Amino acid sequence: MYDGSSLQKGYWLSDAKPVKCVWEYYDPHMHKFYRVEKDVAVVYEGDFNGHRYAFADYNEFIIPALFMPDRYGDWAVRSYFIFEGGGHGGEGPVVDEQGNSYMLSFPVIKGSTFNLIFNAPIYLFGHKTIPLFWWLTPVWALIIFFIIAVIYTRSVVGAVKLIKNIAEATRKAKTEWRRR
Amino acid sequence: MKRITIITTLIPILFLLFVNSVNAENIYTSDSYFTAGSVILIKLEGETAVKPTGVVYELLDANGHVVYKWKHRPDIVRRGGILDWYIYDEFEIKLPNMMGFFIFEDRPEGQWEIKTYFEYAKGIIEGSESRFHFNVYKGNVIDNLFAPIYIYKGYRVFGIEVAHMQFELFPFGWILTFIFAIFLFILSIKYIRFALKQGKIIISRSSARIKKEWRTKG
Repeated sequence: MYDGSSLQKGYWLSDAKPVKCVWEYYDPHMHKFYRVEKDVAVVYEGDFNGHRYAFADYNEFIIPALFMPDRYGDWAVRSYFIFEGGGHGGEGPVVDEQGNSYMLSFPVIKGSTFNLIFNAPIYLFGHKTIPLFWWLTPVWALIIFFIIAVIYTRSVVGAVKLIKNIAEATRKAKTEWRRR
Repeated sequence: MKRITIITTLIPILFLLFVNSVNAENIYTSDSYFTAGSVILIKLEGETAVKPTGVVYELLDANGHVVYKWKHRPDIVRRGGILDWYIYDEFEIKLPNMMGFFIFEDRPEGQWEIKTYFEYAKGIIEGSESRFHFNVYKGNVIDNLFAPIYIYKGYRVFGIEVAHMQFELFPFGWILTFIFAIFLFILSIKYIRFALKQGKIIISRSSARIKKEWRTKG
């Protein structure tokens, strides 16, 4: 039963054994953004009001880096259990007294630029990846290389010349390779 | 057919949507809107006098043209209720690509519709039809690139559809990603080969030079 706080209290009861729990996260326009199928966190076996199993689950979702303004708004999460034999049920995470299940919605705002670049993960094809800053590592590596070149040659012109020489040497090597 | 209930969870305002098919005025719409690739979750519940064998979900665009049709075996069919048979089904519909990308025609924005009805061994169960309306906009390019492409062609005789052909194509985004991945793979293989070959040349030249030096010293 949902108690109004961010954590859900209570257990689901069933005679069939739950084997997996699925969490689906949707953006404000109901695009399925992320889906995770995991082992059920807590499963008790015994006699629970005439049912064999009592079970519950929890999941963690890190809000992604969102660069499109239409993605800010009320996101939603849906969860359900998969039982032995393939059936599914225990839909939630929110359930009312009549047993109707609801998705849980949570507001997502842009936040700070620092968080957007350094902390928020980028999700690609349904998988969580590193934040934008780390995706741009090749760019940072080139900048660091240039700074080292400036320090080494003691001038920006020298660093540019160094890079030009490297490019020229690569070009020559490529030509030679093609000839061979 | 006495009672049919569609329970749909809509985002961002979460509420249960009850649609009574008997009274067509009892159709509720939402202020929220969907775009290409949006998912619509449907929970369908009803009772029938004959044993239902399937549920048909028809997606219609703003012009009333059929976009795609799904036939689904109901999750639960059992005896009971006021009428003889109780039926319950859950289904998920993903909205298609709205932009044609110069290959297909763009889909119209506006009020789309999902029409559902039950089928039994001899055809459609009369009076089992339900309609659910919702607003659809094109969405951005990314949404459209990764939304499924539905192709539907109905064949009509005297205005009645007698047959249809339909299929679902891979989203453009997946095809482009696949081509891009192959391109990157070929490029990296090419450069690895280049680097290895150059390394080999440098090593052989250096070893030849060292040998020559040794001989001169000797």
